[in-house]
Amino acid sequence: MVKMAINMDYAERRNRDLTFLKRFKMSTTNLNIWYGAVHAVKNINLSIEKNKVIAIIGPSGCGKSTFLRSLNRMNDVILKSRIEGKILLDEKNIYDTDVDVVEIRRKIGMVFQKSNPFPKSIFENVAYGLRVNGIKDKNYLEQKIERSLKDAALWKEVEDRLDSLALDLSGGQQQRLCIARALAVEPEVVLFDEPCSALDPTATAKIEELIQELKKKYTIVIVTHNMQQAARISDFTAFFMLGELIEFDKTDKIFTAPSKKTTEDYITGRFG
Amino acid sequence: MRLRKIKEFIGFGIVRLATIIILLALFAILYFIVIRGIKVVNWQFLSQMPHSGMTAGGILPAILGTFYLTMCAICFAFPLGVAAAIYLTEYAKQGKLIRIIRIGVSNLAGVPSVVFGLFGLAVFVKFFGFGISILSGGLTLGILILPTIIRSSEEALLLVPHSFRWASLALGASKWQTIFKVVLPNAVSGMLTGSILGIGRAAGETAPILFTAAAFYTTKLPCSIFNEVQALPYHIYALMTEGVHPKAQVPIAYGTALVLIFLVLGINCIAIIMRNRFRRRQKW
Repeated sequence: MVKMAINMDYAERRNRDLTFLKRFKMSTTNLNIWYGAVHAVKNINLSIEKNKVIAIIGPSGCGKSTFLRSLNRMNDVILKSRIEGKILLDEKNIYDTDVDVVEIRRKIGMVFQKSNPFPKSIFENVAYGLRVNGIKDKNYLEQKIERSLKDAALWKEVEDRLDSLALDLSGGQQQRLCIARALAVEPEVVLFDEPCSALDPTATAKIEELIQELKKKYTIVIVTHNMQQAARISDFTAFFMLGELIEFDKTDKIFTAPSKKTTEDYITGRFG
Repeated sequence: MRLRKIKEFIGFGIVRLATIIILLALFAILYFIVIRGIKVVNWQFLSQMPHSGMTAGGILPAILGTFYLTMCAICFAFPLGVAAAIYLTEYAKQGKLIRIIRIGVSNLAGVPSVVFGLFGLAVFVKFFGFGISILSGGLTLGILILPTIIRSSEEALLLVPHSFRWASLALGASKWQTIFKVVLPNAVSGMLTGSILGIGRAAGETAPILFTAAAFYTTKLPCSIFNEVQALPYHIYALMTEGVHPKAQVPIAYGTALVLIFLVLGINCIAIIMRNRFRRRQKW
């Protein structure tokens, strides 16, 4: 009898774990990041639901960008840092020694704060990620590039000039090109690091609209300075301060009835 | 108030004068060489073999020799220097060892050129048994210009914005792919510029080829890299220090100097034009 109870308990737990895994694309466990002696990210436990937009807000220097970059291991290259804890992508810890970093970065795409197209043609920018992943078939490339540019809501503006230089596009177009480039390699998660901070309101609106559209296919994490933006586009919001996760909840709740005083102070603009 | 103006006037006067003196020195050299050399330079001078014990004829073998030597030097030094620069800036963990290597490279640039000549004699001529030849001289000149190439290649690599590397890595490119597909194509013009300046330097050096490649006088053009050759700088040296007909030899020496100086200036101009073109084209 007792044994059976244990088994049932195990099965139930296992089921619960499985539903957890189905629901969540990524999760961090006791994540700590240091730059030298600076403890930049402190003990973060956070789960990211599939096909949702998760916004990360907080004052400058709160560790939100560092946290974001740890999700696709870009911290390994951008700033030398030390990391502790786990980050699961599906069931796999992306910091395990047997993990191929290159593959992780293909699965978890990233769009940077400042648009950074390569000094190549529009076509070649989007083709780049496919080419480095070994795709040579011209027809496939063309189809894929059209698809990605359409997904990034840029196709109509550039379809007749795919061979012109990407740097001749406007700022907002360049950023959407970077999004198209990230989408082309079929990532599962797309990370946005303040993607609109250098853009005018019209371009920003376009990108926000786009992110709403993208969550149907991808899981999205976006760091933003702009609280209205977080409120407009995200399903969940994480509030970071001084490297700590102060509050993480549904966006509606964070912006209407935050449970912590600090969160309320921040979103009502009392500091930050 | 007046005093301040006077001070300023004197201060600017001094720096302006310094600039003028430098320009004067450059033009004096050019003027001096052109005036003395122009008389002998003509098509025959450029296209004929020397004869009558170097008192008459042209300097074709020296021009060709200098061309072969610098080509050999650049073929050896460019890939090596670029590879070293890639390692130093892209791969190596920045730390004490890399600092020491960088200091070493800088010091290599400061070694007197005659020492390179002796090194080339000991290593390429004797140890590897290449003899006195284009190969030995070219390799010696290659080592001489290696620091220039490494330094300019490193600078060119560092000028490529990090955001390009990040974008590439974030798309699932490996480090190697990132370097070859994104970083190098954007750095190659800078690397070439530095290397062309290196060629200019190599073309003008006498000491490194003195014991390794230069022939005092050849009657036939070189036909393999194991032949010794005449070269422009050494030809001037030979004309001025050896031989028994100074009256006939000195004008030829100035003519040779004129050819050499315009060759080097020409090479440098190409480098500068390339650099400007490249700067105009890059928008990041």
